[in-house]
Amino acid sequence: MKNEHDGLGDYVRQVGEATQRYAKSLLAENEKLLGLATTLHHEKVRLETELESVRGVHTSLMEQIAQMDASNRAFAEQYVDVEQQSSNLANLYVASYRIHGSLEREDVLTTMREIIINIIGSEEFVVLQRRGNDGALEVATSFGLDAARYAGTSARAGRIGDAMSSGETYVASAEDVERDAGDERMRACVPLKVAGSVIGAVVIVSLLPHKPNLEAIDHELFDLLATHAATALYCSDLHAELRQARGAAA
Amino acid sequence: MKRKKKILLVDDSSTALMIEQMLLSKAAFDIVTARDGREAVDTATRELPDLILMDIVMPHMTGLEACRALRAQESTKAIPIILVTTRGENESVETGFASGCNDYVTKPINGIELLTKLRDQLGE
Repeated sequence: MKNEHDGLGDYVRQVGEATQRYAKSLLAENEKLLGLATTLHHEKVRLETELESVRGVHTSLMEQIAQMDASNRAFAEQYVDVEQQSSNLANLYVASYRIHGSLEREDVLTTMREIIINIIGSEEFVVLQRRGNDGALEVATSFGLDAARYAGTSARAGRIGDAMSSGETYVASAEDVERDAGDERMRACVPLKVAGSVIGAVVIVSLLPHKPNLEAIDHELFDLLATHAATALYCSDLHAELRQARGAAA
Repeated sequence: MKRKKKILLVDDSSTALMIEQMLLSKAAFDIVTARDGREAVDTATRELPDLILMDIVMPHMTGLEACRALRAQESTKAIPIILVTTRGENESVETGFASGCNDYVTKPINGIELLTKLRDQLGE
């Protein structure tokens, strides 16, 4: 009986010791886990701080990229502007250089035609010139239209007459272009002026289909035609008269 | 040192040729010129330019005829050709491409457009 009791006691003691060891190991494990949880918490806080900092750098970089994009766009626009101005100046230089390149009337008229076709971009135009005192205009040159329609045009009536009387370039508005027909149909009428006198006019009847409107450079070219082309044409006529007079004298 | 690219400009209008020369002068090209299609074919055969910028409406031989003649010759068939046209309609453009041109620009010539197309064809 005693032996049985002793055996049970041993068993209980062993279970008790085993339980104590297990409890100790659980406590130790718990300690380790608590330590790990604290470490992880610190790591989380550190990573959150780092993430915040990276987000700040990212935002700053995005702002810098946006600024650089804006600068690039501004430079590109400036480049286009400068190239356009350079192109316009080249056109004006060439027009001016060519228009005074000859004293021969045909050369001057050819140059005027080339400027109006190649630089202004007109597909129908006529250059009219005052010859006598009757107020009728002669066709000096034309392109893309029936020139006979303009022979004898009055320098005192109609839209051409108005522009020649006032000495001011007429530029058709969008409404004018829509409404006008016949000899009144034109995109612009540029009076040719020499020392305050109007000696003729360039009538731009229509522009090339891919050029819907006149641009700033065209107005400068109109000014150039109004004065330089008029002078060149006038001088070529004087030159021809002089040559004729010399021929007659000889 | 990098070789300057040679451009052949073809136009019967002195004014148009001068404008094209002015527009291309800042881009450091060697420029040669011809006054009509026939002269363009002769000059291109002799000079072998890197690119040809050619007007369509010209005396003796038009730009389209010159384009076809250049494409038929072994020595000039690969030279890029940009046609200069006064009309930008589809029909004119299609005729140009059918004649063998690589691209086209319309008059009045826009300097930026011309330089962009030219550099594109030259692979710059």
